[in-house]
Amino acid sequence: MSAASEWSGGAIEEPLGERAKAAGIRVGLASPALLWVLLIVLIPNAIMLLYSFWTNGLGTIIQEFTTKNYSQALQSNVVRALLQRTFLIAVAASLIATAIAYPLAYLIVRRAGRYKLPLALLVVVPLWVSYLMRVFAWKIILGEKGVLNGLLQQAGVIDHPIKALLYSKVTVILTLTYVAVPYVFLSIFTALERLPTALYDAAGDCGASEWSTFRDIIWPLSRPAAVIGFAIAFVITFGDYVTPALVGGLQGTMLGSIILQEFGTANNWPLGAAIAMVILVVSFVFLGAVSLLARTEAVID
Amino acid sequence: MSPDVGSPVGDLVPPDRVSRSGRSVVELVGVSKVYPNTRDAAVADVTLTVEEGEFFALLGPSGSGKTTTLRMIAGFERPTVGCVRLAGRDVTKLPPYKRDVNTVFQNYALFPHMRVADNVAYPLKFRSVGKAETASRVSEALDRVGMTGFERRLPHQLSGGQRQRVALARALISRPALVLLDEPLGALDLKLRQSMQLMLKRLQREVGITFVYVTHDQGEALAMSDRLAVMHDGRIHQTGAPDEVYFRPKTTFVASFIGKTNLVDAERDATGAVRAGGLALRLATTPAAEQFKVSIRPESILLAEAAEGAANTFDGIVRETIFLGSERELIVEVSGQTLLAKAASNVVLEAGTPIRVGWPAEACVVVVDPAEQAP
Repeated sequence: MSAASEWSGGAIEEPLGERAKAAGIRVGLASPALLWVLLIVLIPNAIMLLYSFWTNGLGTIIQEFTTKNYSQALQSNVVRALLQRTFLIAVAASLIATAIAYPLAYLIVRRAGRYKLPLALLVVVPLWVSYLMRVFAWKIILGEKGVLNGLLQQAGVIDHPIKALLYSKVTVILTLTYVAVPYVFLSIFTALERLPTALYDAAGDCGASEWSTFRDIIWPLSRPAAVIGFAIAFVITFGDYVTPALVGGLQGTMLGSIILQEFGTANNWPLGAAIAMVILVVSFVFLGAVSLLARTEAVID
Repeated sequence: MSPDVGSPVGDLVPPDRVSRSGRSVVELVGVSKVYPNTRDAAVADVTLTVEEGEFFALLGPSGSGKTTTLRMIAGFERPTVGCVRLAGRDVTKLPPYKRDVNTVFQNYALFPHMRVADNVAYPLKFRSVGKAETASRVSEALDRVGMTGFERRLPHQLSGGQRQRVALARALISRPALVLLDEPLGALDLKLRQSMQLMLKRLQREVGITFVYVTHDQGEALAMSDRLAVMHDGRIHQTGAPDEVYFRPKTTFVASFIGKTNLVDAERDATGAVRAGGLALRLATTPAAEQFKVSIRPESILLAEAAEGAANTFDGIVRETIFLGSERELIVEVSGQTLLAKAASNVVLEAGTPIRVGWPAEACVVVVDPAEQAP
């Protein structure tokens, strides 16, 4: 018996046959989920991977192995510039969303009292509205004849509407941040909710002020949730093409828009698949690095 | 408690025999707590004083306000009215981290991401204690609670009893004037609870720190405390030494909550004679009230020859006997009243046997119901 299982106290030695049976039951119970992952995630991505090694031949797919798409994608200045821009936009939007969602979740959990759940619901309620509508709303707010320009003109702050509000990198970051906040909030809110209030009491009892309690106890225990929230936001924003298409303009184009073009008007599926694979690999590497920040030894029971 | 069934009340030690320094560590003056959107006060007009070096228990059933009282001493709750003083200083409005008090929480509240040594050392972080001294105090505190060798463990790698010991070490390390314990043994099984009781009591004597101990277990409160306050519905019903509270309960609640007792309705007539149904009772003093209850502890009731000559003697019939191992409980019917009495376990009495029962005048304790007295 290992030292770890000795500490946990509940570990009882099982005979090998029993253990194999238990493992079988676990796989059996998980099989609907596994089937789902296989059909919706693994197979489509495998097909995509296959396509990325084929070539386009005048509207047909030539099923011969080649790495031409990858060399073309990676040597293209446009793809490389867009990859960099997309990555920075996604990281910026995810960071800002986390920076907004964390204090919001903390304040709602600690200070909202009986308004806690209604307030949390208000933060999440935009998720009930279609994604397209949420992004389009920003077009209405920021557009040349939009809400913001109208207000500013009426207030006499400006004479002519500001065109630069829309169709820029900043607009894309703003909109993606808005889209990501509820997801990050949910991850952090549930984690903070789960922390026993006695921990705050115990820290105060030890002499820690609210800030020290946060720094020494609450942040280390909720950091994994903040990292997971950030990762969700990154996944959502990195591959997005709707937001740049609606509010990005030329300045705010992202790599997702290019993939859409390759699969659409350009009708070059293999190249599109190769660029998609590049996004996938970059995401995996980045999230792998980020997940190191989510590691913790704490077990909350 | 005195095992001498013959004269339990005669042994009563004066209530002020507990050696006290006379310096109060905690003073609550007229403290009440009403939570928003509730009608009844969680704590109502509580006044109590805990003196230096005392092991003081707050005893009551769940919902009696004992934990709220403790939380107001610690600073987690602010009284709606009233004043909290620690060592003579008004701390009513101070947050917990500005009070020289440490708490052992019901569910330990250890920091799950910190190792045992870091958990115990945490209070020292805010008291400008050097590294070397912190290390020596941590090992001293862990040694006191018998947890040496567990420094590198995380809380989830410990059993309940071990976590409780670590929580205790964390509460003691900054040498506070006062340690509050909120049902610290509530989550442990009986055997462990008993050994932890002994450890706590020994530890409190060794370190000489005042303990305020919240419990719903009357046996625990009687066994461990120097003095205790019995709470019910947010009010303190009685404060005193365990034997005082046991033998001289003031209210029907105290009499029935602590130990077993016989509570009989009684009335006093104009001549001062007291009758409880068919029984004419002789009391040590004439009660002021006309209608009241009399509490008679089962172990005060003498049987057969021993009953002869007692101030109150009656003929009764044994209705039932219950064998409890170390003793036997008898249910005796006396003039329509059913009384619980105790006998040695080797005494064999069949149901239906006639028996003389008797008890001294001092064994009859007049108790009142404060709810009925309130205007």
